[in-house]
Amino acid sequence: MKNSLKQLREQYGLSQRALAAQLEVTRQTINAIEGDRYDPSAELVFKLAHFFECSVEDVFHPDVGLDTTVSEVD
Amino acid sequence: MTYPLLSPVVVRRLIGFAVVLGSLALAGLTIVSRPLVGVAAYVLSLVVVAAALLQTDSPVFDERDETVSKEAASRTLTVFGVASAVVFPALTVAWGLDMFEWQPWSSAIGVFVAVLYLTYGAFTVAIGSRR
Repeated sequence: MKNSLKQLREQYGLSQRALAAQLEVTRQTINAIEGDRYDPSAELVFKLAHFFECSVEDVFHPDVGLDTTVSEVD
Repeated sequence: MTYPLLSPVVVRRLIGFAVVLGSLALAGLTIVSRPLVGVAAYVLSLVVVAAALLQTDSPVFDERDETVSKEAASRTLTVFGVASAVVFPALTVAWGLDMFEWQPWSSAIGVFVAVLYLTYGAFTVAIGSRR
């Protein structure tokens, strides 16, 4: 799952360590997410979006197709 | 007297070092007929782990470590499962053909693998019934 975490973090002038401390995770976890080597839990996804005051989709960009919505189902 | 807090990375390394050293001491001292000293060394390593965890105010382990641990456990079970599926039937056939004799060590490994998968099966059923 691609993400814009690094850009968001740098936009706010935060180090990986500082962001990790705010979210109560390790710096290695932030580094792994930014490097697309780790897909965080739903809980951490929402914590990140809440922290940066944006939607989940502003931070994470899933690789799967998201074309169909419930209103398109018969 | 207060001590400066350690970084989570240092604490992780300290814990890893203590666990490895304690386990090696337990195994090594047991082999040389000093089991009580081995257990004492192992308990001491656990004390070091507990003390190390108190020396930082940042998370030392988090959800990523849990994910890594789960994947490692899954792969370990897979390796044991595949090896068991090949090795134990082959040994049983060899035993039936008088080409192999079960020894205490090979029987112990067989019992260990059986207990391992019985435990895995029990947890699978228990956890599955809750979700």
